Amino acid sequence: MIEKLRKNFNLSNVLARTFFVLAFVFANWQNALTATVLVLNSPSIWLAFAVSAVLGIAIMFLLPVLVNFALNLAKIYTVPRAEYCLLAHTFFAIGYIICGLLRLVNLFTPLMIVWGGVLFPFISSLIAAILFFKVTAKLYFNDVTVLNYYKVFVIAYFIIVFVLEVLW
Amino acid sequence: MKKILFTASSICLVLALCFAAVCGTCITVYAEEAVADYKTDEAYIFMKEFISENPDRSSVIGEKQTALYLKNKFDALFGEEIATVKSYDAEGKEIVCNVIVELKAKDKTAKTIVVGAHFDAVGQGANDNAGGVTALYLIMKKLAAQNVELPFNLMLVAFGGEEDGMIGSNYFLQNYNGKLSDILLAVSLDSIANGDNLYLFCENKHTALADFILSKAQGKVAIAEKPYAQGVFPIDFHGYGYYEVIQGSDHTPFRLQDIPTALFFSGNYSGWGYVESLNPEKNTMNTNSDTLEALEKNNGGAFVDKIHTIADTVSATLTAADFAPVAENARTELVNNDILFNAWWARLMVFGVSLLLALFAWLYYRKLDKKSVLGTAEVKNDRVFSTPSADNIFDFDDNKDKKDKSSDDIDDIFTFKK
Repeated sequence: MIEKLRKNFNLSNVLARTFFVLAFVFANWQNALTATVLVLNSPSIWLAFAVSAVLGIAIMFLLPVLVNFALNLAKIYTVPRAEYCLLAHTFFAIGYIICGLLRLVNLFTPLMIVWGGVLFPFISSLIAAILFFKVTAKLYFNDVTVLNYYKVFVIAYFIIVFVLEVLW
Repeated sequence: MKKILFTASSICLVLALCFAAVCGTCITVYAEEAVADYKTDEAYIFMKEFISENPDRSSVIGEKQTALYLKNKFDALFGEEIATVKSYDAEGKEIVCNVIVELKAKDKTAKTIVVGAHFDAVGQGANDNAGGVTALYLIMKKLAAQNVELPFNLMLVAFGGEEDGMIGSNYFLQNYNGKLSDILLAVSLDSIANGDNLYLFCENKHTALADFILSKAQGKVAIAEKPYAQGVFPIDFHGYGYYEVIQGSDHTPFRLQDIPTALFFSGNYSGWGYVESLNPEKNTMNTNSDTLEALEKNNGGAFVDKIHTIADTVSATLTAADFAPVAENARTELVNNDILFNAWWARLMVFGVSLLLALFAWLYYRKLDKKSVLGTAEVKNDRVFSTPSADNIFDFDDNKDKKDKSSDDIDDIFTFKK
């Protein structure tokens, strides 16, 4: 199965993007449900799924743009961009899945909702980022070039964490 | 034998028919009495008069008139001028008023319990909250009649401005004469007449306070503790750190000051959703359909029973000899809702962990740096995805040329793999 997918980039790309959107919905449906309460004064689960799916699709298209921008900014031209973006989609999706699983705690108790709201994305993004770095560093960089890649990756990660998790 | 069986079964049948007829008559009579009864009930009479005499309870002027009306009613219960109408100003304009009846304990160091219901409304507001005001009135009537000495100060408050964001209860706390830590408990009665079930809400966990109140439950309608929150919203309207529908009532300003609260309300509560009733026609809260006529049409006289149940339960709780220690202890049972703890400590923790991670990241960078000095800098050309080669798609016959050089049919050179 994996071997077949490795020889069919287009199919893999479609599957990775679909996986990304589904994982995004799984991680964010509770926030979307809150949005429906604000707008409709009552929760609407289907509207919440629809809203998070639309947002997920938008971010799915935005992610390659951001990844390319970051790689250009870091002057890393040696990685195959399409493949790298596909891996980014896949590992972001893994992060969302972990985050969604952690957020299921909120269904049972409200006690973790605030701390969880900050900690769960942090934990899941950390796991996904480490995995993504390990895989891409091994694939595309040698002992010398990995140094610059690591530096850029860590800086980008901490900027994202600081802006989204601490300041947001 | 057959004859005996036939006679016995006939007698049984006749007896059963008679029993059914008698029961049916009783049920009919009881139902008619119930319908007739509730209209002569003091709760119904008070509520009907309260609604008809105060049709406007949403404007500032209308609220002031209603407050004066309630003051007269409360004074009449105690036979003295005991109620005060407390008005609150903002930027020189009167914006809200509360009606306060204070029953002081003999002990001057005694702490205070507040029992309140908001009297303002959207539309006629029969369920939300003429029902609650009626229960408050009945509680006062019982306490006035019993003339008991309570071991705590009791403040019975009709709050204004709840529908505009709990303004009355907020101003009550801001202008409270005394330490807020001296308030042992705040009981709120809101929308108790129309919903499917009667609920008590103290904390999202088991507490001795809730147990005690429920143990004193009296009346025809059962009161259950609200299911502990499971489906909540990750948004903070009031300062709890999360949102559930039940936060939008007068107990919230008290609870956010770390004062234990007990909210009585009616409805149907499960998981993510709160509705007044599973019957959509009965869902009238905060609409112009929240009228006394609708209450009667949807509930018959049952809504009067609910009001009495709440009034009797609260009265029995307040006058119970062993209630004071439970109320004193309630503060120790509160779930931590501290806004700093909730909103900022989590972020600060992430920031701290990030700094720690940065340290590890720097150490790992040094390791990579050393490795790079010794590294071979070999060219990496790994790819996850590969373009299939022709060998993966076709079967080539390498000997074809040798076999038959005259043939130029392409199928003789290669074939698609099966």
